[in-house]
Amino acid sequence: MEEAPLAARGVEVVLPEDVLAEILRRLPPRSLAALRCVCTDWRSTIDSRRLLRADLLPLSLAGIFIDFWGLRFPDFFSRPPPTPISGVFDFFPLEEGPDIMDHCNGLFLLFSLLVVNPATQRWACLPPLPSHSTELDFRFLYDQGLIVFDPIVSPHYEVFMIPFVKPGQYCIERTDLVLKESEWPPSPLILHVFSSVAERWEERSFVREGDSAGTVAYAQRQCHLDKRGNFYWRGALYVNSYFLMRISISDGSYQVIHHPIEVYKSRPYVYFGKSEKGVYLASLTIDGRLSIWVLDESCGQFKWVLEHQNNLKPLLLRLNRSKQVYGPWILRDINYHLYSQKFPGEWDLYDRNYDPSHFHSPNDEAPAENNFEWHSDDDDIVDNQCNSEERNSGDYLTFLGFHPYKEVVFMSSGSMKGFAYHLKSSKLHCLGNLYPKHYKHFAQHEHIRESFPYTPCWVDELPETSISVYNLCQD
Amino acid sequence: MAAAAAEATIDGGGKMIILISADGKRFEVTEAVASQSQLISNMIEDDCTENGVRLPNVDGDILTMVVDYCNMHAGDAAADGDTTKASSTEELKKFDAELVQALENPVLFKLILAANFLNIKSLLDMTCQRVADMMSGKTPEQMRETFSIENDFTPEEEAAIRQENAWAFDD
Repeated sequence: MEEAPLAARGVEVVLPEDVLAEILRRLPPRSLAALRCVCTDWRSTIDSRRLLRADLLPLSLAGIFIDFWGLRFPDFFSRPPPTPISGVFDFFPLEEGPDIMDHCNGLFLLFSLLVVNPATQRWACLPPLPSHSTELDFRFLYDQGLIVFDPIVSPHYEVFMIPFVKPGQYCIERTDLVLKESEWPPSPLILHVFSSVAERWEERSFVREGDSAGTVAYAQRQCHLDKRGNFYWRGALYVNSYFLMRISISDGSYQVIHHPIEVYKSRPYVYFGKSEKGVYLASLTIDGRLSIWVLDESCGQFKWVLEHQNNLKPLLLRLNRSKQVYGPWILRDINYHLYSQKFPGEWDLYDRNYDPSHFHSPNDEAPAENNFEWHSDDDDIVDNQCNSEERNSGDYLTFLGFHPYKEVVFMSSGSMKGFAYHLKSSKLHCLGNLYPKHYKHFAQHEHIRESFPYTPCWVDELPETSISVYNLCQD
Repeated sequence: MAAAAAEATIDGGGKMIILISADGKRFEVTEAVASQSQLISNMIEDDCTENGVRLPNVDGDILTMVVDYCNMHAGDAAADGDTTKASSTEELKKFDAELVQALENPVLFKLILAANFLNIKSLLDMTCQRVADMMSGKTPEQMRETFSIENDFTPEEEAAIRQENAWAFDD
């Protein structure tokens, strides 16, 4: 192979290209991208040796993982064909279903404290969570884990356990007068953090900047509110509660950011997410009024700026009047396929009179092939019709999540169809049917528990392994 | 320092080898110490170390550092389990950290070249990592400054290259 004689010009000592490559090999993608701009020699070293592999990074949306109530495996809603990503959480051992707690840049954290990458099919089991050394009373708290992973900066990941106040059964107001008046969240806030570098849990302390969100008793009264949509963005964790908690990872501080006051007018459904401009808050009322705010973090102040408002109900009804069964996206029906192929005889049916042999129906082929990466402007709202004789005027929308890189909100309807709403054009597009095959026989209630817009990542430091659920089932 | 290093290893038994730097400085080390260099290890196998090993592209001051490093790490490499001379893991870590932290251009680059030429993998790893750490998190401008590199792109070219990886640059 021909070696460029010089690599780092201008320095007194010149490193040969293979030594320079040895140095560059150790750098994360963000640094390599910056190094490509330094001089022509460095750029050609990086490019000729393919040191920067942007194609392996979680830079595009592949689809949405949806956790349906009563179904064992998360399903995957995306454009066909079902890609190189397996999308099936069946390659690691698990006694129960793989319930997803959080997702960040291609890595999933499960409730069973497994960290899983569906693209590389690798996983790691975290050690058991140690008990708390603080004086916090865990009768009234529960932990929820958030995973932090940004392969553009580092191949390592961290898991943060965030305490939430429990609703109900232990009534703080009556039983514990001191606790009732103490502030929530406390300062310092002590969190259990697992670091994949240290390979262990440690306690980290976060000091609050600014006011608390109120008392513990107040927090308990608010905890019926929906808490979906936690995420990591640029060095900070954003945790959705009845306020937004912003935890700054590097400097050990956190802030309480109150929702915009207008949110509470009509008890809407509230969702947080990251998208094109950073941190977004969306609220949606039962009658379809959508409001979107963007968090302005400039000047060290946090301010919600109202970005968009629209009533989606007329758009939804218009789309529902058209009829066509398939949209450009399909649900992969992972549960159906796993049950019929991998776990025959292990049906966990709600409807015990249902005959599982019906599962093997001949017409279960996926619709024809299509470009996998979803292009927001391809889907014509008029031609792209969705099915439905049924459930029309009573239909409503709920959030599936934000597109991480474009100003698009994904939603599902009560009639189990997927939609994309474009903030820039104010257009609602039907993506397709997301009702899981034979769902009514699996579950008493048909609804979506959680959903995670998924950006696959093909680089991680998870251990390689060949054990799968299927192998274990054979034993 | 070279003399001290040589003395310290004499009682370790084993055959001694003389290393000769570009500027004629001589270092006497045991075969076990010297053979951490894959280059010298090959020469020992080929029996061509009798009259000393001339290293025409390694200066005396750099070779001093290399010999110090190899003396410290001889314990790792000793295959016969003779750990009496081996330093403890913590001591080694401390030694390595202090060695690397103190280095700046151009000595650091010279040490990398020596480690590369002598083919001492652990030293090459450590020094390359040090440079990588110096590069990490820097903007292109800061990188040019740190490594005295001239920007040979036109502003338009540089903007276009940035655009290719727009995801890497925060606004």
